Amino acid sequence: MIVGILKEIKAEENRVCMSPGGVEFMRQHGHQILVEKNAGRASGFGNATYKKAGAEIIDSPRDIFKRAKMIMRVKEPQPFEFELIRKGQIYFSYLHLAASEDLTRALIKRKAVCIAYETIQKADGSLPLLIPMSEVAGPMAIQQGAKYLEMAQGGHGVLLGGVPGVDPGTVVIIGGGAVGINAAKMASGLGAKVYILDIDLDRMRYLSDVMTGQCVTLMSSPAAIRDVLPKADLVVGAVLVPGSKTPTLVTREMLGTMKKGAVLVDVSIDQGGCFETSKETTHADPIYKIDGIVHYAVSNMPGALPRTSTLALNNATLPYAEEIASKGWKKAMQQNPEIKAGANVVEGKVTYKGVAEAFGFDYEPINKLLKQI
Amino acid sequence: MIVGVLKEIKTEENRVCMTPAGVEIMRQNGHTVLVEKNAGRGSGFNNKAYSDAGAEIIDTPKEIFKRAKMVMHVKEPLPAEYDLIRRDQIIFTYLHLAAAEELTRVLIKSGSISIAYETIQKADGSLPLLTPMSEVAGRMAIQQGAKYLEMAQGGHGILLGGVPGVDPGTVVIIGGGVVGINAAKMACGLGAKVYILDMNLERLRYLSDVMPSNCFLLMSKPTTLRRLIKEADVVVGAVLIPGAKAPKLLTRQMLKTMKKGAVLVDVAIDQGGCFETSKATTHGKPIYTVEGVVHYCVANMPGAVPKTSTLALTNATLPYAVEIANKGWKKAMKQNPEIKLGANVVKGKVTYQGVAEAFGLKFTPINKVLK
Repeated sequence: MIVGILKEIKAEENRVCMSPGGVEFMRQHGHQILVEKNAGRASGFGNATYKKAGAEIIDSPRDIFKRAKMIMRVKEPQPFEFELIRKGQIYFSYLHLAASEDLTRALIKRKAVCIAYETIQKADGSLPLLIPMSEVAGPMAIQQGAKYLEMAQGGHGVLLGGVPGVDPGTVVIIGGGAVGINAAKMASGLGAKVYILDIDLDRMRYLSDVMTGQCVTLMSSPAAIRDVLPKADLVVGAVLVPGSKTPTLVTREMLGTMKKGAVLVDVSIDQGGCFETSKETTHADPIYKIDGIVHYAVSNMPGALPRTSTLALNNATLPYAEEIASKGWKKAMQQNPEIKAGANVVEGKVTYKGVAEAFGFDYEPINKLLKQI
Repeated sequence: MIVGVLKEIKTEENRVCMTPAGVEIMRQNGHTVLVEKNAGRGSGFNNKAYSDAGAEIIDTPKEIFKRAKMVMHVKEPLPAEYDLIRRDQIIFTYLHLAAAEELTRVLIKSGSISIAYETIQKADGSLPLLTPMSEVAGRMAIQQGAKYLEMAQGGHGILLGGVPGVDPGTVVIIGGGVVGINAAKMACGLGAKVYILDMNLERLRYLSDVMPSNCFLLMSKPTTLRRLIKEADVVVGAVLIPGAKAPKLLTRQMLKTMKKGAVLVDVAIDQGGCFETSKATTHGKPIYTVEGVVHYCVANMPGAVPKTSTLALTNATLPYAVEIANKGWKKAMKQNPEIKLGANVVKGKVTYQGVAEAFGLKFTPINKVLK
C-alpha cells in the first residue's frame, strides 16, 4: 500500500506520525512510504534520514493526498485540506470528531475511511493510542508543578522534594489511570509526599502494590478531595471518562481552602478539565492565577516534548498502521476488533455512536457495514 | 541578648533569617528577639506568627540596629544600612566580603563583629551554612533542566524520564559534592540516565554505594567530559572550589559538539560559573541560548523557593545563633572553632585571610584578637 506521512500544521504541534524507524519497518512489509518534506524536523528527523530508511520525500501535501491510499498524521485535517481527501482513502490520526461538527461533515462528504487513534480500544477497555501520551503528560505535570511553585513564577516557593530537615511538598493526584500513575512515579522520585485519589478499588490495590510508601492511595469522594486540598502544594487533574466531558471535581469554592501559591495542573483540559476554574492555555502562555492559585491548563501537553512524544506515539501506532496497510482496512477491521473500534466515519456513514449522538447524525454500526462489503 | 531579625531588601530575595520556631527557641534561651515588620512574608510567616512566638515586631530597621546586640540577615547589609551598624554590634549573615571591597571597608570602620555564614567551617572542611543552599540548588537544577528541555522553552523536546519504550534523557553532572549528589537524586528519581563526574575517588566510591543503578560514576577528565557532553540532554555545573573562582570546564568549542536544544544549568554561577559561556541571569529572565544550547545561569537559585530555603537555612544557622547569643561572641569563638572561622571583620580588623588578601588589607589572625 502507498502510505503518506503528512507534516503537522497546527500551532505548537511538533510531533510526526512516523519515525524513520517506522518507515523501515513498513518497507520491510512491502509498503511504499511518501513523507512530506520537513515532516520530522521538529522531532529531530531530517529528510535524509527518511530517505535512507526508504521513504520518498514529497514537496506538497497535495501530491501525498493524490497518491497515497492511506494518509497518516498526528492531528486531524485542517479545513483547506478537506477537498484533497479522496473517496475510499484511509485517514488514520487523532480525530476527536465529537468535538468538531464541521470536520465530521467534511469527512462524511468526502466518503473517506476515517480511523481515529483515540477510539482504538482493547478488549479490557484500555485505549492503546492514548496511553503513550498520558505517559508523557503525567510526568510533565509534575515538572510543571515543580517549576510554577517557584516564587518568581507565581508559586509559594516550595521545593517539591524538600531537603534534609525540611518537609517536602505534598502532591495530590486526582485519578489513578495512566496519567496519574506516571505523575505519581515522578513526584515520588523527586521525594514529594503523594496522594492518589481514585474510585476503582482494584486499581488502588494495584497502585498500593507497585508504588513506594510515600504514595498514599485514597478513595475519591467530594469529602476526600475537600479534606486533602488544604495540604496540597500541587494538585494534578488526571481524570478521564472515555468519550465524555470530564466531571468538575474541584470547585471554585474549594480553591479558597488551599494554600495561596499552590499550583493546579489540569491534564484533563483536553476533555474540558476537572477544575471548575480551568480554561485552556498554550505552551507560549501557560499559566494564570485565580484566588491566589496558579493554574496550568495547557492542552496537548506532550506537544512540548516532540522527540519523546513522537517515539512513544509511533511505538503504539505502528503495529496498527502496518496491519491496516498489509490487510486493507476491511480485512484489518474484520480480524482485529481493536482497529474496528477506531472506525469513526466510513464511506459516508458515521460508524461511531458517540460522534453520531453528538450531532444527531444517523448511526451506522460498523459491523453492518462490514457485512455488506 | 537582644537579637534583631531584619527583612531582606535585595531583589528576588524572599528568605528570612529566622522562623517563628527559631524565635521560640531563642526565647527559651532567654533572649529578646526583635523582628522587622513583614520580614517573614515571602517565606509564609506573618507578623502574628512571630509575635505569638514571643518576638517584638519592629517597624523600622533603624530601631533594630539601635537596640539589638546581634543583627541577623540572610544577605549582606546594603548601603542604606551602612550608617546604622554600631560599634561592637554582631552582624551575622552571608557576607561574601572577598567580592565586596566597599562593604569590607564599611565593616572595618564600623567596629562591629561581622561573622559570615559562608566561612563557618567544620573540622572536616565542610561548610555547614552553605550545605543547605547547595541541597536546594542541586535539586532545583534538575527541575530547571526538565522544564527548559521543552520545545516551547528552547529545548529539543525530550522528557527526562522517557516513557516505556522510549529512551530517557541523559544528565551529566560535573562535580559530586552536595549540589551534585542532590541533583543526581532528583534526576535518578525521574528515571534519567545520570553521570556524575568527580576527581575524588573516595567520593566516587561513596556515591557508588548510595546512588541507584541509573547513576554512573566517572573520574572527571577532559576526555571523559568531551565524550559525555555529546550524549547529554542536561549538563549540571556543580563544581565548587571553596573561596576560589570556579574553573571553566566546558568551553565554547565543546558546546558545538552538543545536541542542539540541550540545556546547561550552571549552579556554580555564584562563583563565576564553570561553563565558558555562562553569564549570570535572574529568575525574571532565567535563560539564553548560545550555539543552540540553552543556558540557565540564575544566581541565587534557592531564592525562588523561599519557603523551603528559609527552613533549610535556619535549621543550620539557628544553633550557631543560639550559641553566639548565649555565650557572647568571644566565648562562642573561643569554645567553638566553627564559629571562630566565621569571623571576617572584628573590631576594625580583618580576621579572614582571603578577604585581607583580596584587597591588600592587613590580616589579623582571630586568635590574636581573642587573646
